[in-house]
Amino acid sequence: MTTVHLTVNGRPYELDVEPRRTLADALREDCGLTGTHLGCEHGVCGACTVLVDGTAVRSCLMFAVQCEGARIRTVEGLAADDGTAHPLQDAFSAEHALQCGFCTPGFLMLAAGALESDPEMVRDDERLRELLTSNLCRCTGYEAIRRAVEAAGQVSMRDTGATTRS
Amino acid sequence: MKPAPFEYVAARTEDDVVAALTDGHTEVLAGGQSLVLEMNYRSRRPARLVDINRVPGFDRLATGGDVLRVGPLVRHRAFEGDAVPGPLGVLLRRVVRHIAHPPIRARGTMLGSLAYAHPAAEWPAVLTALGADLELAGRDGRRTISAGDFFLGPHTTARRPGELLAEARLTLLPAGTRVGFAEHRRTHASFAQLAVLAAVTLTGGHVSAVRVGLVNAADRPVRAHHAEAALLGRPLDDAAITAAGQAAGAQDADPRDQPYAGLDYQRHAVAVLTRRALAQARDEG
Amino acid sequence: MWRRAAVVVEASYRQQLLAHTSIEARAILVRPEDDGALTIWVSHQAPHRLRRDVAGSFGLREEQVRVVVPDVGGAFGGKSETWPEYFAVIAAARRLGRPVRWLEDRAEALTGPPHGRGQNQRVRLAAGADGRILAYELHVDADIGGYPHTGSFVPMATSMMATGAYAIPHVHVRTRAVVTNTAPTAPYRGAGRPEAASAIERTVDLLAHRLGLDPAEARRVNFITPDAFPYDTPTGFTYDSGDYAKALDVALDELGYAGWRTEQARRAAAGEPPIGIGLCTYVERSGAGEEFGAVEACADGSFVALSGCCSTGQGHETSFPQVVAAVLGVAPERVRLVERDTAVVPRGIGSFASRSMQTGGAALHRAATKLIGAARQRIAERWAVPVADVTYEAGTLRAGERSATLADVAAHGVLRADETYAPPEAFPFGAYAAVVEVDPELGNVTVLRLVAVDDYGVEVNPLIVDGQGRGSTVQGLGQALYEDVRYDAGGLPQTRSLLDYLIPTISELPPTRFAETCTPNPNTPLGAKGAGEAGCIGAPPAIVNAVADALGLRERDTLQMPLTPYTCWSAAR
Repeated sequence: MTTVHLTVNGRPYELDVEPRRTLADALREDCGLTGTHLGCEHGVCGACTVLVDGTAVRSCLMFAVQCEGARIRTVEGLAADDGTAHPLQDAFSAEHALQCGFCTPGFLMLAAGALESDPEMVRDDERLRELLTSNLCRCTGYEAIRRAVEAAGQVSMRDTGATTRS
Repeated sequence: MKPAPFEYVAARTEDDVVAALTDGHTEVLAGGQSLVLEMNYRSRRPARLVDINRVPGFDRLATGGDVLRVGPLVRHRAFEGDAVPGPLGVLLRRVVRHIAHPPIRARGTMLGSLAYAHPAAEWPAVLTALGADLELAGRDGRRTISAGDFFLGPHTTARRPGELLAEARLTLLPAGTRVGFAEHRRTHASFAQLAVLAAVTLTGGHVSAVRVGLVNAADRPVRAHHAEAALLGRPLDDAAITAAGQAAGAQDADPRDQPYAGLDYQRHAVAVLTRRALAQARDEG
Repeated sequence: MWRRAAVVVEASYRQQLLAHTSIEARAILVRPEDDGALTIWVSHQAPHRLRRDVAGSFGLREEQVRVVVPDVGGAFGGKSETWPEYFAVIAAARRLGRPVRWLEDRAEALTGPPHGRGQNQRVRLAAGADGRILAYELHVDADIGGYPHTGSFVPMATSMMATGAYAIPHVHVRTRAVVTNTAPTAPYRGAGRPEAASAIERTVDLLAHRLGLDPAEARRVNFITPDAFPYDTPTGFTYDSGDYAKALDVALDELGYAGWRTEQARRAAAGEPPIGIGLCTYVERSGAGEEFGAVEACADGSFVALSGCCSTGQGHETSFPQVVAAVLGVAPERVRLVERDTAVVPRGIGSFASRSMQTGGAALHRAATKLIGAARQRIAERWAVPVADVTYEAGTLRAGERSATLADVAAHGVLRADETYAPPEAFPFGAYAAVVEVDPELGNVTVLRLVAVDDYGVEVNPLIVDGQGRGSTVQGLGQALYEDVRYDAGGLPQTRSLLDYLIPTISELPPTRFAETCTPNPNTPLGAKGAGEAGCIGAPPAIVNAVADALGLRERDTLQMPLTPYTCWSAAR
């Protein structure tokens, strides 16, 4: 067992894990944050996407021991402390961008990472398409997801305060 | 599934890495986007991993003189922007967009891709065609090997147990070099079935230098010498491009069985993609 | 017949094996309770059936088994069965006396049960010179895998839907369920209807090509006409209602059919990459059997709706309260849905075969109506007035000057109405049209335009219905072009990851238009038909027919899904 210190959604954690514990499993099993989903464990589906130091990555393809000192954000950390939904969450709801919801945390974090580094990216259809090609959804047919991320990007551009909330 | 147990070493220096590798049972953990996948499937069960993600300087991407030096922790996405000058930068930018998708490109590394030597990977063919030098660091010091001699087959390279792939060195393409890349795959997120890259220099309207590389057209990345010969000294016109495509498909490619592509189709597709890569080089530069 | 007919076309088709690929694979957690009872949390489509099967297998009474279905990460037919793995987990939990869970991983999901589809089909169709179909013969060999699970269920569904939207006087269907050495097959979104629609729709297109008819015209002359409903098919179903020609007209209009035909001719003349236009006019079957629904009025003015259905992402929490609220004349926010827990919902079947709204929604509709009747009866007794004098509107009962709310009535005693309702099957229909470009060099198919026109009867929540249409259409696109469970010659599975088994990403989406016609279900008060699987049924034949059209193929047996570039390139040679 190895002791790992990491910060998840602003809260410090000290975890005793085997080196083989993936970040995804550490979040789910050791931190009890089951919003991060596992759909394939080979980096294709993207349901496990989280932000590590601000970058969207596959948490199934990283080991928790690699995250010593890292700042992690998961879907649980997307809403504000007072419970106010993130613009992406509002937009996903408004646009009916989820059906079963299993892929949703991954899409939210994928989009959150991209919008927080550059909300203007939603103005570029090609960049948005390329970004959303990262993850799989089997229910919606994607169009509503695209609309939702675009709408949230518009909100973020108007209200930059929302994009720096951590 | 979950990975089998292993021991974990977080290296701080290159010496740490090389020291860790000497036991012959240790693998390098760089981006991990292929290695961890295989460990999750237990198709790889290394006894020990040495993590190079915290070694200072391993993410160096530097140009000195006419040489681009790529460290072992330079992520794919580093090539998305304008970090690499000139036509080489244009080529790498075109190629990198075909590697998986943004989250994978944020973690996966160029050198990791070379060491992994997946037959459908783009970087090995790019470096092979461009004649890059690869530097390997081991307990007995460093050695340099040409990319063309590095790849020996699917997932098989000249890297010895105990060696770290420490650097790739690419010669910058001279100003005016025209580059092209064409890839064939089944969906936007899938591996390449086949791909072709080209870099062409014209002098006085005639091809004075040319590199053509084939992805997944043989058991290892291919520099398409026959296609190049069909172009040298000729104008980059449709006839030359067609001839180069035919040479690439018929002579340079040595296709193997793969799903959804018979051998005849693969040779044909290599010819088509070679034409398209060359046409892009001619028309878009 | 076969000798007399002006034209006979024959063909063979392959319905490849598919993987359901819900992004959440199967999952179960079993907790043994002190008294021998079991609590089971499971990602499932039919909790009450699972409870029955588990109780029966372990010698328990049904009330000793509580099945709870939390939010389900997609199902598409793959989670409606009682899988052997569940019994292994339950047995382990009982043996160990502690909770045991099993989370299927992706390699297991792709290589183990269930697969979907998997049919070899041979067809023969005879027609007059005017294109009128005289006879149709369909032979199906259905791959049901090594351990037949749902057995002949899916191939039988194919048989029953063989004739599709057409009035065909003579039909012969032979279906064989073939035990093979693949993993077992089971219903996958569409479950037999996509296979039937693909066979007839590809064959009608072939007929049109052979006779030089416009494929739209070849369909029109054979459609069952609106005045023929209810229509008894030769295979034994009774189609409730339909206007197939109207759906086709809407599709052609949305597509701009004539314009694309002009463009097709222009390209051919100019030597540009060929395009093709493909049509599919499908009929499907939705809903079957009974479903439980109950509505209870609460003293606080809210309502609880109980349903035996089991949402796996279809938004019952939104649409079922809408149904109840509309009957009661109250705000949907006042109605809370409870389902997916056998300890709370006494009976139920579940969600599959596009049955939830058609059957479960109709049961709730009737339960809500019954609740009003019960409340009026209660008030009539309390106020000593004839029931006929008690009126109901928007949550309030009135007789003369007196009034009471449903909450008032509930405060005097439980006010709840239970209903188990089994409306007949319904037959949604529609028309799909696709325009494709085929790269003449590499065989890549690009879908330039896709139009989906569906008739689901009355739509309770158009946004949710639209979501079902879009999602199923993209799955249909997946079958047409990308998806394929492969085994090698030695029987080893070759598709072990999502790098091998390709489902569409957003980058594969064609420009798509959705439209509806509305022919209400005449057999239920709600008027809804099933709306969950249409795209899987309509999209693949439209795309395949478009590719055949682009390539100008006379014989189409080489053109089998998935239409990979290699397949198209080979077919064109």
